[in-house]
Amino acid sequence: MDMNFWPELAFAIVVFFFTVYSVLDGFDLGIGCLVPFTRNREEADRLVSHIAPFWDGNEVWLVMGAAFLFAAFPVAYAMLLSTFYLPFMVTIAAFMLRAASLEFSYHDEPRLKLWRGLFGAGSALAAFFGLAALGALLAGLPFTGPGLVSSRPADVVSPFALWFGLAGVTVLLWHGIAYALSRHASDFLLRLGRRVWFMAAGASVITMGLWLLQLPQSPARLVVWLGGALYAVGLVLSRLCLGAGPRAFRASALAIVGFWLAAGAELFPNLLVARGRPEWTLSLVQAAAPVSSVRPLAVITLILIPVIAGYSFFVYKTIHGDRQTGAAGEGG
Amino acid sequence: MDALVLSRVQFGVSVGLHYLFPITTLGLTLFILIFETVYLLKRLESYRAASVFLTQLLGLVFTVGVATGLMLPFSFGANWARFSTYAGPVFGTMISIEATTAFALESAFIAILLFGRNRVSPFVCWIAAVCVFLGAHASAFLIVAANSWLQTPAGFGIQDGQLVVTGFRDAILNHSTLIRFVHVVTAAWLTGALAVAGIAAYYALRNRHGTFVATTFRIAIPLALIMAVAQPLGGHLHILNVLEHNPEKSAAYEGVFHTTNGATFYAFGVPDEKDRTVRFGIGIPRALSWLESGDPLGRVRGLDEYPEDTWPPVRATFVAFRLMVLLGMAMVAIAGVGAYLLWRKRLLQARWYLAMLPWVVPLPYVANELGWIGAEIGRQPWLIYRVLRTADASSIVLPGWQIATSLAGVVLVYSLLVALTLFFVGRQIRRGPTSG
Repeated sequence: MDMNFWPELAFAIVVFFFTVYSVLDGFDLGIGCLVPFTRNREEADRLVSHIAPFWDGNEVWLVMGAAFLFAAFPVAYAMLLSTFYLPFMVTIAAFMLRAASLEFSYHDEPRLKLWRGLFGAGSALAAFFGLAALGALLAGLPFTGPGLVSSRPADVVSPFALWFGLAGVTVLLWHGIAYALSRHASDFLLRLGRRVWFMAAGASVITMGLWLLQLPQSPARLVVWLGGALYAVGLVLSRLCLGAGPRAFRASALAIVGFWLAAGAELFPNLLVARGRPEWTLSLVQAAAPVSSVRPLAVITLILIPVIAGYSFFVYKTIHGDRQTGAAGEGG
Repeated sequence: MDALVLSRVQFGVSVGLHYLFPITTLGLTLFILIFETVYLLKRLESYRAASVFLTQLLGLVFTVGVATGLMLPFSFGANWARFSTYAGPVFGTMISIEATTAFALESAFIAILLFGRNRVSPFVCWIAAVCVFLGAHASAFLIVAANSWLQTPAGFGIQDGQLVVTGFRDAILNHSTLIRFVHVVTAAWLTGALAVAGIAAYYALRNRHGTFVATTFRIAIPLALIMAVAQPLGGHLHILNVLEHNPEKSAAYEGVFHTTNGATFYAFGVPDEKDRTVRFGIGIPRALSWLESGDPLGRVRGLDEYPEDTWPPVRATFVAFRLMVLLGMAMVAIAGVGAYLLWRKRLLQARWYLAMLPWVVPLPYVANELGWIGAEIGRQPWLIYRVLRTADASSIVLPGWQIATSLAGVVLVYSLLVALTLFFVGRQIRRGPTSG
């Protein structure tokens, strides 16, 4: 057995960061998409109150994942971002729009609908573009040579990626509804939830089909199948548990974990797959920074993760005293 | 459409506008911590009210600060791919540590300050204020450390064609982190002190919120004076550090083209890079030599001792630095007058001073930006000093038109966010604290 497992461990840490991020900010984005479509002010306020204190802390997991990717796999980080340059810029702009419009909505009562509309748009765009980028990563990047990726938009945009983004948004919508229902009962959300689940389930089935047909067979395909099974179980369970209470959300979270297990295994042992030219594919070992760098980074990060989880949970418990929360907005 | 130039401008605009937010955050978290501490110990409602009010401002500033900052780590990978690939193991590691320590901490606990005040005891509220303060300042430390590593790299080696950390302590502290961190935080606290004093002056002039005014002036004015005086003292040590570890930048800062014994310290001037002289120079002869070595006839090395292709743009570096120092002196005077009036208990009657103070608030922001312009332009042509040139660091796969598009977007979105934040902060200030 190769004693140098650090690239694989670093990859697992990256996948872990993005998994936690998806479970947490996933419901922020999902709820964000819903806010402009609520029937009345109270419902919108309640939805916002669920995410207002936490979306920022949840988003940090994305930053941590990206920064760790930067440090552990610098060449892949650079290639990925310079390839998807304009899509990434739009994604970041969407995240900025999401953050700013929510914050401004607390301070501008007369234009509340405008800010919440922008918040919804930002959430939807961020979710779509982020997931489309993930889909593109899974499908393979347009390499033009060893270590060189094309940044021409025509090469970068692929139908699979666009579909993946759309399908992903429906799943996050479902995840958001499941979370909201774990915080408060709502007939509106229940009815909406049934329809959204149907969309998400249908989209998932199509995605799985495309995945099997289009994506190359991974050496870790057993884990891909395991992840896919977990995803399906989680998704079905969350529909069966739909109703007031945390079980639907927990099952939905399980589905997201299953997805990332499958995605990570699909890429493994590579990081950047070259579409159509496997000889140019960048493996984990090739993409990783030298072990002398990755080892201390991974150790420090592994120690910090439970610390962050611990105090984040403390903050969450502190703020969510009771189940029914009051009006949205700041001021405490 | 030169891709390199466009990427440089884009990074400059994004980090320059982003920076306005963290320096405000650092100052606000300091005041909130002070107020929460006093409230915890003495249960004076005026301090709690002041803390609550500043927290409302913090919410706006912090959130938009995070939004504007989100782009920066991604910019390294997107626009500066060769830099990221080469230096990622070192620079990326520092960014990663910043994210998992400081950023995570402040983002989590700020939720209690913003949304959980009514649910927690004053003690837990104080813990939250401590964590947000520590998180913000740890962020400042690690980001300054990462930038300082670019300015005075240390603790690294080359392995498999990439830079790696050979000594964590040397990489993070390198040759300049500590003095630059002190300088940055002093500047931020000065900014915060003047901003809070400006708000208090605005109310005092209109005879509103007397309790808030009394509570804040008592702390903000003396703090402003201490910071304003500390800044040039720390700045002097900083400059000596630059002299030792980045002599080309130091020579550019001072406009010293030719090595001289008994060099002039310029208060102002316009360097002419073609003729290698400083035009319209107003300065004190021999003072630069004295400042740098204690000997008025000491030898000061000029730019011509170094290859010309390693010179930074002299005019921009020199002028930015001079203007920053001038503003710094002005702030010493402003804070000094305020402290004197406060000591003499004539501050609230000095309506001319109260009217002036809000207009002074932009000065520390401008000085902060000028300082960074000098520091970053002064490091050119290097991105990592004497290791990697900026021109060799950009992404080669990126065509100019894509960067031009993103630059237009950055200018538009960032300007809009700054303007909107100012608008809403201004409105919140006009509404004032809810009690006192």
